[in-house]
Amino acid sequence: MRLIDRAAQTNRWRHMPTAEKLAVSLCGLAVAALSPSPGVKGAVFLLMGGLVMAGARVRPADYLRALAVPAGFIATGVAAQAVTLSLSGGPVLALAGPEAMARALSFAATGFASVSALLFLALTTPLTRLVEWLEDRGLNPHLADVALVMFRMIWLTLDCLESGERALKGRLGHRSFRGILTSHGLLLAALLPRVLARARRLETGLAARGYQGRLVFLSGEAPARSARVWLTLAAFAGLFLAGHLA
Amino acid sequence: MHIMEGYLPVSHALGWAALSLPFVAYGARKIIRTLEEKPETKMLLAASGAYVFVLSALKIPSVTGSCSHPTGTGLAATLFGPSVTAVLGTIVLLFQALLLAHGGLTTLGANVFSMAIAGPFIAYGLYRGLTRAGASMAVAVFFAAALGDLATYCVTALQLALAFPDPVSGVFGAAVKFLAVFAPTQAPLAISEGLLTVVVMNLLSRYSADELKALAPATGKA
Repeated sequence: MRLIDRAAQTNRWRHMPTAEKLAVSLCGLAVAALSPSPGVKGAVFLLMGGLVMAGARVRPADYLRALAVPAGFIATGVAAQAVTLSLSGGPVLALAGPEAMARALSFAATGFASVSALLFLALTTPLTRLVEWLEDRGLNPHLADVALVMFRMIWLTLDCLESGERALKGRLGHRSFRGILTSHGLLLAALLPRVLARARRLETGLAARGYQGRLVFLSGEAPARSARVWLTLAAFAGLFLAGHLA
Repeated sequence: MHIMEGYLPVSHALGWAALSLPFVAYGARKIIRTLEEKPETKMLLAASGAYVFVLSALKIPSVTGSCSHPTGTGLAATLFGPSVTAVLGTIVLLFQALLLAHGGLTTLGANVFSMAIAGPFIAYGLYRGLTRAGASMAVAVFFAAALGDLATYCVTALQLALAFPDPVSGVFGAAVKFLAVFAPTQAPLAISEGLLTVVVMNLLSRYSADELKALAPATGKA
């Protein structure tokens, strides 16, 4: 669960401007969604993977692990599209015709290209920077604060959940279906008061430090260069047009 | 079941986002108003959001023997109310897309509609309806959580069927097909999630009544 966040916090491009990385990712998503050419989708997939592994220096093993779950979801979706269901005279399931197969494969290509664009953003940009970027663009500061504190609390809560789960497993709480349900029920019921108590302690601690209702997080991010953003847009527009003309 | 990044046609992705927007905007307005009046509830809301996120990290056993993650929609809607859950769920789904690569940015609207709006609203409606009709809390919570979970998956199947109608049997046939793909895992999982939610709510109402009371102003249920 921490794989993507760890990569985002430690990669070589973590201090690069969020706006520039967001432009690359969103352009990749747009080209993957709008281009009819499978070659262009393949190019987006390879480009995004290359940027993440060669540019941001995210380990290939980490990249492939991050890609594994979405790939499973895409495969399930393609499998569902690769069969047809006839309801006349009882339900009959059959392999879809070549046209439907081609469409299923095209959607798989779109899926992989889009996921690679999403992973580019997720693996190179810490989530807190994205929330701060959204706040700079008009997201309500209260909602941004809730999201930022939530992000910090997720890891603490997850630690509590994992240690509780280990303890219950060690006490043979996972021996049967009923035991697992009771153990998980106890764990979740114990977790909520703990999380709320932690929230109250955090609030008291912040109040003691002069908290005025706004949380400020330090950021070592460089300012975005609009020339680079325009260059990104031009490069992806060129890729889209190349696919259209080919 | 999250719809993966790039899986929906652009028009569908935009349509589901437009449909989700009023619900999220209403919930956001409610939260902002609460936070302006009671800034101290910010930490409680953030903690609630973290709890909703972590709910989906827990693996529960399905009665078929496999394991899967609960949606947590029933529990979240019962604890925090559906409009607050819509906002917290949207943040959770955005975080899941960017921290786990589950779901995506272009499919966020569709996922928000199925998991943060349809599931919680149906679960909350059932919970309120059944308790008003005199059902015990356990029965109301079980049906709210199990059917809220199933509703989430039915809506997801419908979203996929609308996007990819079957060449022979159209949208209806595609919906049957997608439901059949999900049903072997989701129907037993919904029962497991319903049972788990009953255990959690029983324990919370017995031992954590003060905490539930503290949550009420933060979620606008006071």
